[in-house]
Amino acid sequence: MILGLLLCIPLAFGLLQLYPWRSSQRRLICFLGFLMMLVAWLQAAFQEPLILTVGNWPHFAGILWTMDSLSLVFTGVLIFLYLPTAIALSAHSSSILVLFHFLVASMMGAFLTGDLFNLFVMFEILLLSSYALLFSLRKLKFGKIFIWSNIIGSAVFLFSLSYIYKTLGTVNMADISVRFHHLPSGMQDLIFLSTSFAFLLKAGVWPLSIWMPSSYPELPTPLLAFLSALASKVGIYALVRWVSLIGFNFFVGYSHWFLLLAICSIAFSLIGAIGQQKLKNSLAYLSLSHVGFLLLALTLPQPLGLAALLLYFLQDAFGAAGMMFFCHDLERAHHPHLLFKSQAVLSSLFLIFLLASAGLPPLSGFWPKWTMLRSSITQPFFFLIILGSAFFYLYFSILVWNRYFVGEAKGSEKREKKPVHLQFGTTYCFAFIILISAVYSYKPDLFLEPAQSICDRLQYVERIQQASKMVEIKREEQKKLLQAEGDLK
Amino acid sequence: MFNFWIFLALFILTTIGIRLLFEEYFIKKLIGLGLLGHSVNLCLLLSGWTAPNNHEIGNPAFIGFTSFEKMADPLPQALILTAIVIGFGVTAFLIVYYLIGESESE
Repeated sequence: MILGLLLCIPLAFGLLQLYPWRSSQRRLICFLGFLMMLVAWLQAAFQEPLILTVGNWPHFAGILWTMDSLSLVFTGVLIFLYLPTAIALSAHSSSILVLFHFLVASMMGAFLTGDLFNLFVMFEILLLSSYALLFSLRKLKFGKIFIWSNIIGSAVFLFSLSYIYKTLGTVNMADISVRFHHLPSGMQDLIFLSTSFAFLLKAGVWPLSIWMPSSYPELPTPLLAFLSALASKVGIYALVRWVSLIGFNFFVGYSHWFLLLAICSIAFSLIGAIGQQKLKNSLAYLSLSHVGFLLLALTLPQPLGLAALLLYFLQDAFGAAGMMFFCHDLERAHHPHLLFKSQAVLSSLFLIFLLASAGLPPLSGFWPKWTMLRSSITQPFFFLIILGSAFFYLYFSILVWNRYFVGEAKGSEKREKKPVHLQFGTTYCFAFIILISAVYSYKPDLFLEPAQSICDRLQYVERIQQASKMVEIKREEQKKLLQAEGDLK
Repeated sequence: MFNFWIFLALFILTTIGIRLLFEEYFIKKLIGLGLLGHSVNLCLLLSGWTAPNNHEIGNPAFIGFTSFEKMADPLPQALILTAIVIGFGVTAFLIVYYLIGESESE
């Protein structure tokens, strides 16, 4: 019931936005939608685990939605980031707002689904709405590589799904998790690698994000804040879910390849961030390097690595979004960057965002990296890689700060300077960063327990099998009731 | 023997489809997308089970309850239907985008 509400609220509010409201009314509607989603999510948080079997079919035959601690974290971040983005976007045209709601609905579906084919459908809705968002700006020619690489990824995903059904006889995640280990090892490799290929492509790791520079920066900045914080993380979510179903023992055999991919994507996106001329583009690249860090956390020894991944995800979603909202404020003021000279205090907010995501100790980014280091204490190779990439991230983010905020003003940029005012999105994300820093330093093992429950794949399977047993019991009761009614007549 | 022809068709559709995706012109890419979609659907169709043949792994959802001599496995057909609809949507969307882009560049 609550899961159904969570899935339907963004869709319903998206359809509401089709009517040409005034922008203040739009803002009010978005706020209402946020409140309803928040209430539903809080109820779900206190009742987890939740399972919704659509149409009362048992889990192997029907469509299944489920919420466990992994999807709880991801949907929570989605709902909390929905609010500032929707409010900032309500100044734009209503069509963008409608498509944005569809994007949110499809992400919600991807986080809540318990069925691999359903995940594919949600990916397609997500991709179609993001194509349409590019399209609504009449700038789709920038997104060509994005579209065609994603189409190839979807085809690969479907091929691997058909192979999964042929060999395992199911597309349900819990059943796959049970049956996978009875297969011969060659088939296991094929299934695991082809599906991971599709997920890595969605996460923007696989073709080293060649589509990124030409497609993302063309979007409006608040939307870009949302996308850079969450869109590529959907792929990471799918990968984490997939690995946790297959079992981390199986994944360890491949972790070196994934580590290599993670290092490549961190290095590529950091260098890309330096090579850009606009703050927006640099930030889009920096946000992609977080995907590399998340992948790095996945390859570490579990469950500590997974706890680090959740910590990192939470802080980086708000950090990346906050920096992008700050960039939006700068754009609104038509401010030639170099803000440090005119408004030093304000510009230090941006520095705090940067340092938080780079992981300096009192701020929130430190704890996930500390947990990552702690988990790899027995493996000096991993330890050095984490230290090195954290250091390079810090170095490159300071370079970004230096280029866009300090430095010498060029003669051509001496226009009349308007002061920059912070909008709602920036302060909201900043408050969240401070809050997260406080919570993390009070309780750095916040996600250790959820991570353990995610690693234990039998727990997930048992829950879903129990739920479908309940469904069968319900059906028999209904049958008996019907029979009794028939006898009475 | 019958499966051999389907496999051959699958092979031809996939190779031509992927080759056409790398063409320069939009229409050829679109045809490639269509062919690739057909090959994916064929592949899903081939994945349907006809009999419970592996006791260790377990049966698909709808196998084992009724006799399958006169009936096909319904689950992959549902999957194909969904895949066709999504492929159709993507194709239609890309065509519209292309037409608008053409009319703007003129």
